[in-house]
Amino acid sequence: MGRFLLLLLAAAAGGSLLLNAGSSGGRSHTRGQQQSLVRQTLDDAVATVLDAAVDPATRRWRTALPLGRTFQVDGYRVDVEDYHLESSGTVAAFRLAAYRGGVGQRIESRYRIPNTGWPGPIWVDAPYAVSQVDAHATIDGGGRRIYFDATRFGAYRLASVLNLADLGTDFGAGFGGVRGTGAPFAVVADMDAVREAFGAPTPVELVGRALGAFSAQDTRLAGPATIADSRTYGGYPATTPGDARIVHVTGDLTIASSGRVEGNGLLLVEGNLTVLGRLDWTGLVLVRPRSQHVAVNWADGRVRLNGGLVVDQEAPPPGGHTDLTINRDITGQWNSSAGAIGETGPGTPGDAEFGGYGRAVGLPGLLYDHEHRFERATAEQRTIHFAERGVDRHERYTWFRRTLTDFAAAAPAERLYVRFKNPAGHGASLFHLVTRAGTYDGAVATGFGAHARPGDASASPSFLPADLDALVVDVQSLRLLTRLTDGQVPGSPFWPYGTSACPSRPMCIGFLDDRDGALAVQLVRDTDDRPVYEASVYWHTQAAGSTQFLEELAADDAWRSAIRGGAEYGALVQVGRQVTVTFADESVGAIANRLGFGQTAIEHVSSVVEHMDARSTGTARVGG
Amino acid sequence: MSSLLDHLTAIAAGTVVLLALVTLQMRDRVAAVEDAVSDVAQQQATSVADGLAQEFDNVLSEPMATAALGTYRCQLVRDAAGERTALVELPVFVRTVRGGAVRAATVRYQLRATGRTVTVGRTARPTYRLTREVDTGAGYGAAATVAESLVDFDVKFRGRASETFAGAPPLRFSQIAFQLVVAVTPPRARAGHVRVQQTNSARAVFAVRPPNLTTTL
Repeated sequence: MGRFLLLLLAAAAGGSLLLNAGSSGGRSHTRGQQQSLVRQTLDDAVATVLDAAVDPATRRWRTALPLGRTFQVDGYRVDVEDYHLESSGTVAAFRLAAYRGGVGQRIESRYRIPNTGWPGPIWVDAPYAVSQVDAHATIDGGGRRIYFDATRFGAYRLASVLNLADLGTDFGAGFGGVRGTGAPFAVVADMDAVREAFGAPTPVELVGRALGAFSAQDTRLAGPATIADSRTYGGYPATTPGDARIVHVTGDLTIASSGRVEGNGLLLVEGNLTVLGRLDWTGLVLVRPRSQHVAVNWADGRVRLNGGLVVDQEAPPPGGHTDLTINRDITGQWNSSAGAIGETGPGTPGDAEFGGYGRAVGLPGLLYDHEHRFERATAEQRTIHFAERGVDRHERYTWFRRTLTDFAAAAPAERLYVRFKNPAGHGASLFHLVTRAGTYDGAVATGFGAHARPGDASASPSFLPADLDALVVDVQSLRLLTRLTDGQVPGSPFWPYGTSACPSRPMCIGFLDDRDGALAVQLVRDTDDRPVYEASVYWHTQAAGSTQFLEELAADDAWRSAIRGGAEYGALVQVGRQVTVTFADESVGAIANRLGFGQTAIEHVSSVVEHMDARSTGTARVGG
Repeated sequence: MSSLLDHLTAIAAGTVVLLALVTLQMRDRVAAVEDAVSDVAQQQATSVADGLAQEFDNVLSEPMATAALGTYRCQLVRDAAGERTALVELPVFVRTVRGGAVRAATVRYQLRATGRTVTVGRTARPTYRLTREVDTGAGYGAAATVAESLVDFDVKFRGRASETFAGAPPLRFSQIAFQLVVAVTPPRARAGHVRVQQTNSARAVFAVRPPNLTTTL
């Protein structure tokens, strides 16, 4: 029996061996899936590297990757085989490898952060400019230029009294002999192209962003202001992004010989800037007067500017004026843009309460109200106070508070919001809105920023009519409003009369749904986004040959004669021996980061993928 | 006598068990031959597909190709019957020398009939040779054979909203999908009296999202 069992066991063992010897190896049926999984891991790893490689404070590549040689993604190890910068630090090149199962992939990628931040150490956007530069001053331009934007020179037809070619001598030549690496001088006809290349906003957009971001840590000084003591705003030089501050001076600023100002961020001066003492600043200095002549006087003081100086001066010739045209329908059911002719009753054009201009000229329905030459009618020039609780100084022109009241009576508990229609015709306007929920400041061109109604940057948060305390629109540039001239054919697609000219813009603008492209300050019903009120603000010029036209022509001639005769006009930039301007993108990084510009996307340059066999690493193949 | 009977019984039982195991073994050998044939097809399909996937992974976008090569040649051509892809032409990054620098080039894959057939199941199917040529700027070089025994080859370019089997890539070209079928000639193998019913073809299906087409931040 024992032998029987032994034989049985031997047979079984032999059969098993044969069975095993005949079996084949494992098969790889999921290689494609594994490749996809490795790729997904690498894609996520690339995103992780990009997140880690960019310094958020400066928006530049870090010189070393703070991830180590390996890191985990999706539970899998990723090797960082290489990381280095190329092209003067603008391109990050890195090589990553990941393995899953039996397959591995390596990706070598290059990404670029374009030159962002600011065009250069000095940017003058003025009709004309003159400089006085001491040869001992130091300008380190970081490879960037000193720009003069010739847009206003051309728009004002200054060639009749000044020679643009003289700018090279009057303004640029002085900077050519300074110490340091210098910065070439350039007169550009299209500063927008330069500005956009660097992701920089216009000066008025910069101001709008600054006003919108203005908070308790920032400082506002009523101008004219003189500083004779030492003040620090945010730390100098910058150490963290949070150091960037906004110092807003609402008129001239003089830093006396005993004064010292140091800081980081944006120094915004709405007038002349004179430094007799000391100014140490990292970031941007923006000088923005409303006068015909502005001086940046750094002749005798000590100035250390790590960043850029901007001069934004409008100084326009006389000609034209601001018109304000009001339309409303508190029901939000406009039969036409201005309501139907002949309608009567509250909230309709024919209503006696609002019949003013339209009724007076025998055209009820075209206009609710209209103020011709608004800046001449008001002491505040082109600052339109739509609402000021308890004051409402411009109510007789705007009908704003009454619209709020009428709307609240007609639709209790319904909410409204403010919207800037046609913001392209912004007039460099700044706005100030106060509701029970908050205070909102900014530039019409850029809107309400982070506070904006979802999907519409130009729309405010909603509010109950009774909760609105203030709305002020400060039109800073007549020239940047939409220009509408009597006797011309409207460009509006809603103009129903073909090539027939519009004899009177106020009436036409009241007639056209799109307000002929003019900036319109709207009150909009929250429930269905229907406007119930529109105040159109535009640059109105008279038809050639009219009395007003001839008056403006004479004023323009006088203005040109004065400039030709040597009257101070444009910007004067004085740079003394103790002035050092050092420009680098990093120097404007903190304020750019705070105000949200220069945040251009990271550009993918190229990627090369190599497939590897995990069992024989290093034998990668590209191209089959 | 009992000892003799004991031996005979053991021998008989052992023989029965051994025969049973040998029968099992023979059947397993049949399966093993099938597996071996299938594995060969599978390995060839995987190898060819891997190479193509890697190539397609390194496709250049039109701006990159234009900047690097001065031209953008990217197309698919179907065969006369419209049944399979006859030509794939793409701008890619390649290494022309093993371990050398990566450079931009245009690569062309062409599918040509070999004149032979292979039986897959009970159907005789023509086989095709896939060749690869590289143009780094001086015209296409010599063709290298990538696969010898394809019976099917389909490539399509996918955009975000559309795809194409022929012609230039669609708008927002972002993905290349392909499938190929490799068939190998089965050995005339017999195992015992059981004819081997081989699975002698293998299909590989890939979809590639080249980073140079898809990277957006």
